[in-house]
Amino acid sequence: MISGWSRRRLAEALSSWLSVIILLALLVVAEIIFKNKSYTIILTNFLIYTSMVVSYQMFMGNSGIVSFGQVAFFAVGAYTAALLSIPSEIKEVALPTLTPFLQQLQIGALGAIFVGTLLSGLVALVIGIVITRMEPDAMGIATFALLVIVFKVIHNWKAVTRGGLGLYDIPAVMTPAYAMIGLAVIVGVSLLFKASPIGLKMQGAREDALAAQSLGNNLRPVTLVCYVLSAMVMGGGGGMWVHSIRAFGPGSFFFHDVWNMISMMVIGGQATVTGGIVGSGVVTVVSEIMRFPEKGMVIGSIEIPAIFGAVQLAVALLLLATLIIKPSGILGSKEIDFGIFNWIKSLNKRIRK
Amino acid sequence: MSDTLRASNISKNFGGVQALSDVSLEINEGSIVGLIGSNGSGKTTLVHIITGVYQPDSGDVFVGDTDVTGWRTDQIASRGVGRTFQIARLFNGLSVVENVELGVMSAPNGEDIDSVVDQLLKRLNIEQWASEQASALPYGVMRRLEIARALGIRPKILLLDEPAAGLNEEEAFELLDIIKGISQDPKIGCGILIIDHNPRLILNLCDRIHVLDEGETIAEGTPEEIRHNKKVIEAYLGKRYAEERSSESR
Repeated sequence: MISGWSRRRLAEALSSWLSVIILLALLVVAEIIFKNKSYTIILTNFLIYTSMVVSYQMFMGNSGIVSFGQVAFFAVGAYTAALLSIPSEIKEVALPTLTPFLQQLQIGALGAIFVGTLLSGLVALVIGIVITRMEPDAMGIATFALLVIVFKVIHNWKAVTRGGLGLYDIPAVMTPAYAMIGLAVIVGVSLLFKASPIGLKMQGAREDALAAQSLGNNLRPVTLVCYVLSAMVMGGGGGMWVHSIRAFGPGSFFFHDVWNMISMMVIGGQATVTGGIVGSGVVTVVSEIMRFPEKGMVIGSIEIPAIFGAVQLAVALLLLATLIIKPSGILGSKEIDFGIFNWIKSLNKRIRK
Repeated sequence: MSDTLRASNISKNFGGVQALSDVSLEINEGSIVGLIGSNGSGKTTLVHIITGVYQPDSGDVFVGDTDVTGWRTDQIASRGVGRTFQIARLFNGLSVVENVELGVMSAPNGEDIDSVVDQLLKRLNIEQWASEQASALPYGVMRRLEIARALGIRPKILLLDEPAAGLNEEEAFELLDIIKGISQDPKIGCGILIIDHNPRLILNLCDRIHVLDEGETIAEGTPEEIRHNKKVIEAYLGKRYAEERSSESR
């Protein structure tokens, strides 16, 4: 066994990961069977949004530090991947002042997502070296400043981002199956991180920093690793997202998204990776239901006028209800786990008999 | 003498209040040193200084031959100084096993983590609580878990800050047996500093005792010497203890 790793924790992570894959695969199989366009869109959005929430959980859930800035890394990953995969002829027209090298460069979605992931990590490393020296509360506020800086840079760096006009004609190659594979990878990385020695040290620091230090843990590098990894996974999610929507602008990366992610994570259970999936699922279903009153509807002879903001209101109420009734979220501290290893063991016994 | 902790001439002032004045203390491998004194006498402050939570105004702390004065808490812990806290500071959102794992994985030496954790839980007699969340434990189990976690780092020196506080007499003496077992186990072989308010417990357990009063050392010696020390009787053990002892001897 690798030094510092616990077999028990690894087995739990693997079992939970396999359980998640089964759940996600069922959702994708349903899409393949029913071929309903609305379901396909909702499912793809759900899978990509969930990847954001899981990436966010990786930092905030393990460290307990509220970060408002992780969306900034989603933006870095999204813009990088988009710039690398938009066809050259479109870039020549839309971004005439872009460096010729970048203008001519066009790589596949997978490569673009990979580069976006790396660049998000690099940006996080530079910022993280500074902000992980801060106390947790100060770090939370600093991440908010980061979000504002990135938002403003995107808005004003028109040669590269087209500012408020946004980028378009990104190859929309992201099917639910690809999104599922992307999310499965992100969940796997997050579960592995949680089970790793550095993940457990981060969780120890979340619970009691002095006690964690008194066991010989230097928390600064631990926090930095957690921050960079989370940013990389977030950047990967951003790259996935742009390949599902064709066009986007800077408005997609601001407080509204932070709010959504925090809501999903808290509702599902912020201490768990799979809590993000549950939270995202619940919020997606509630949001889709609340779109009817938001548009206005007719039930029999009763006409209900449009209730603007009904979706956000419902999510806010759901978040409040969670905080009052079960602050640890739907899953609490337990990951989704169907006990797959126990099944395999008992099946093995039966076969031998 | 590589597994020795030595604090020399430690002084600490908090905004005009002299918490410690020129206090010196030594803990050797395999020995149990008691640190007693009334509330506010500076016992916990001394432990905080030894473990790098506070920096001393003057004085030095050595672990073996290394001067660790001014080092961070995690650096001192990595040198083999484990500790518990006056009020148990567990990782409440984690399970009992994870609490101990965090100690064990901080000092990896190629051993199988899961089996080391199991051994420690057995030694502290808390294996039946293994999968429980730390916040859900009875108080006595919490105190034991904290010791198990500190032992996980394979300490050369273990500082126990009132490990028996809040325990009933039976639980306290059960814990005392466990602590004795730890100090006598050649596999662990660490020196122990124990702070407690219960003179009977300290006098029965320790090889040497150090007595603080208002931040100053008023006595230092074997339990027998401390029992008969007038200053200690006046300042800490009290008249009642002296009377009890004289009636016992009659």
